[in-house]
Amino acid sequence: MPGPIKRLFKPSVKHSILAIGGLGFFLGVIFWGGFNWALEMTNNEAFCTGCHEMRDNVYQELKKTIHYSNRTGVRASCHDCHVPRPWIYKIIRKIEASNELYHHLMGTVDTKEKFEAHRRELAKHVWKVMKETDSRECRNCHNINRMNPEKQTPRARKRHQEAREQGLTCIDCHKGIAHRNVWKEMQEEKEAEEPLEGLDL
Amino acid sequence: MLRVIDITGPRALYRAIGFAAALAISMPAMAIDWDSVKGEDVTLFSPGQMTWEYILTASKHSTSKSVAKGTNCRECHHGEENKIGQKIASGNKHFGSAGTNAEPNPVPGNPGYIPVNVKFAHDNDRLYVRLAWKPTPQQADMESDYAEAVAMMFSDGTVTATKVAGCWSACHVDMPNMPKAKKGVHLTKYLFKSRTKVSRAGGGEHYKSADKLQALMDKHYFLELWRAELNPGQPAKAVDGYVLDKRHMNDSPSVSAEGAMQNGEWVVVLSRKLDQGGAGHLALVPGKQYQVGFAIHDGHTEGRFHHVSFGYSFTLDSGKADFVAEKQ
Repeated sequence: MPGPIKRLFKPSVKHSILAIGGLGFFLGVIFWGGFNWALEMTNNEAFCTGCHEMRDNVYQELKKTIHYSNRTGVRASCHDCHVPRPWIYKIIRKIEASNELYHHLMGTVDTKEKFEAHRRELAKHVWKVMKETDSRECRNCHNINRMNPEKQTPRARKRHQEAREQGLTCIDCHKGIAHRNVWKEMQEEKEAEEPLEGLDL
Repeated sequence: MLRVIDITGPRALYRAIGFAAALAISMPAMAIDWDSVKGEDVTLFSPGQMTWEYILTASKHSTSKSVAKGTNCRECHHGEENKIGQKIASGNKHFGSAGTNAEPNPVPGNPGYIPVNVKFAHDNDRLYVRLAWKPTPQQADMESDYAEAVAMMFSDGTVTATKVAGCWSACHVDMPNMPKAKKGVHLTKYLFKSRTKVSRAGGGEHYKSADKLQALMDKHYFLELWRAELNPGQPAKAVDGYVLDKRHMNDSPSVSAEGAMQNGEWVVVLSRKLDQGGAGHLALVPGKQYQVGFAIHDGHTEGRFHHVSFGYSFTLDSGKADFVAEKQ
């Protein structure tokens, strides 16, 4: 082992534990802050839409929705819905995102045609995770128990009341709220095989 | 100078008959003091091609499961009739949360909705329904021989779909000008239970046997239909019948209709005897809740181009319903 590295494993002769410990603590803060700061740089719209796959497809669709622009200017962007806020889930998601990096390099969805061919699969991944987490990212901003029924239309009031009664989660009804609604296309195909309900009425 | 009317001689008989007829026709309207009847405003709207099959299909109407479980339309749509009608009538290609093209052939000048004031009343003998509305600017180029028509269809609750959606369950996707209409097959309004086989494409011509249809009639499984066809300056033409496997219209109507334009508004009174009896007539008695839907064919429209209401309820004398027909 070279000399300077060997010295790292020997006890200090000159400096106190406090000095070395204090320096270590200070460096740790810098490192931890730097790590999270660098992580947050991957957690914004500019970063996500840096890849043309996202910019040219789902981002253009988001722009037509209320989550992008509305009366109050309160908006949701990519990370608000697709990256968990709790640190541990965020880190897991960021590690999983290396798969997205891989597919970006492999060009798996790098044309409109390829993107459309995979769209349903991508949508189903997101729906599955949202269902498993009780729509955790929706609940970052929306709380069904704090919805004021008097400020809702009769339709919204009725549907949210049903959701509470039936224990539904946001994504059960709100598929397609931010990007093109593939749910409808998939539902039409399903309905071609299923019988009509409500015949007992 | 007063004109002396000869009350003797052969013409006197004709005059007497004419007078009695005029009296008989005008009697129903004269029988009810409408000013004392509390009315409700019902907004009728253009339904486009939103047929019963569509209402029960999630990709066209995302709350179809709720409907199938018996949720009344108005629980969600109350107060939205004019917005819904405007959107559909404008030919909006992405109507509703399911993004349906509900009206491929908009009628020019159709605002999409018509507010109608509705009143119910009865006397010893008859039930009266008064409807008043301002026609819209639309003038359709269809083959109807009346300028305007108003109709109502009702059930005594036996047709359970009427509790959910009024007369909507008689409207189907394989009827004329609907997406699954078949060439050469002209179906009129029908109920699913009149068919042996139904699907998302409708019930087609899969009629049940005459015996089975009669059994449905015997247990009041049909919609009674009252209608007035109107032309300005002419007496209203009453039409009535029932809907089960198709629309059956009576050769001579049991319903009477009066209608006139008053200050730019059509005011129409439909009535019939409470104990009319006979096939296709429901007994009208206190203590029962009836389910009703209204429709107006405005501006020479025909077929599916009417404005329709959601389902409402009425009773006679008392009870919980949208309309309580009080006795006068």
